[in-house]
Amino acid sequence: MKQQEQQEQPIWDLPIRIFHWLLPLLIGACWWTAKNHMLEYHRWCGYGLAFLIVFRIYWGFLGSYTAKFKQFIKSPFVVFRYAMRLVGKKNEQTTSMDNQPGHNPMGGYAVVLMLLVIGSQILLGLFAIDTDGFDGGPFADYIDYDLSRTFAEWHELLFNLLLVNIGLHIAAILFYRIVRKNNLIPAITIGKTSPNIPKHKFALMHLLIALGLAGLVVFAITQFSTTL
Amino acid sequence: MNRVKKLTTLAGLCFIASAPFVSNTTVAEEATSDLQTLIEERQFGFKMMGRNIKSLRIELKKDTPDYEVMKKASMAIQTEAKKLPVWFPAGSGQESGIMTDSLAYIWKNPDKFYQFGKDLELATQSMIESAEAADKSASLGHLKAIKASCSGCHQSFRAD
Repeated sequence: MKQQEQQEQPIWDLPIRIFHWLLPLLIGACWWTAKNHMLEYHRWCGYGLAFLIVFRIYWGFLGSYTAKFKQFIKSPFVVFRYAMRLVGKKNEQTTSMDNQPGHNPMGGYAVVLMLLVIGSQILLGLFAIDTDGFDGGPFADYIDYDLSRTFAEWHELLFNLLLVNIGLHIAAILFYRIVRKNNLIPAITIGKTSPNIPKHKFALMHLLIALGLAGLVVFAITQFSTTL
Repeated sequence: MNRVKKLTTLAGLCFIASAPFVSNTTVAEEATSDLQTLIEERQFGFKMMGRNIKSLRIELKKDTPDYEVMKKASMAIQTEAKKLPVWFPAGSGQESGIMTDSLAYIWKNPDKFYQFGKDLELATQSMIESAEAADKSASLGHLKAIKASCSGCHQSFRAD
């Protein structure tokens, strides 16, 4: 097997870091606009999230090393073994485990779950309608009012699952910070580097394609929108 | 035999003594059931309004709306809006234990609440007239007024 060149470089590339911080900003904005019945702005926040999710899916296949799904989606056996070591005492094995850059085997599935929940939220939101039948997702008029309302109810319910997911994410960060003495924040904010990482510079062309594709999907949604 | 007679008398007394409780429970159950029916009726009514507002919006997106559909939808909304004063008797809020989004503020500030209902009635009346006159531009304005009375009311008086 060919040995991959390793060098000191940021664990997370800049696009992933920007994606990561835009996500909570837009989720917060979505919550706030819905809470205050500002559904037109809520729709635009949803479009922003759709842009991010499409971008992230593309980046999961053709982005840099740590962003790729194949790098962090491991077999359930690996996840189980990791979880067992995680609760054990700190030793050489666990230290080496902590020093692995990118998502750990458990975190990998948490990312997939997060993407699935947010993606489902967006899909439900596309067809949901407010109770007064006026404001709704861009595709709400393709289905009848009652089905649209059912989508809206699921949209509300699923938001709770998203909150649980966010809570687990924060709890995991605190666990690593307090129990494992491993601060994960600098890597996702200022781009902390790691020497244990295969060279993973992304191609600018792929960045442009990912942004273009995400923009195209959002543009297509607005073009087929049924809002007044 | 005497013992059997005593037991029978005791059982009879117990039955008579329990009668007021049985009757009270039935009255309470009936009241809850009536409230449940009323709450379901108003929820159905609001959904009916939502369906018809949606159809108004769909028509007004078209280059040539079907004004007959719009008139019927407006009349349906108006019919439901007129029921507002009977839909919200005291005790039919969340304190009833029945699932409802109606906030207690409805009964604290009924004037403001019913004003939204009157605004809705007026806006739908204007919509009926603009539909009869086949005036799309005026209808769009009236739809915005209908929406404003609905969402204004929801912001103050509806949970979530």
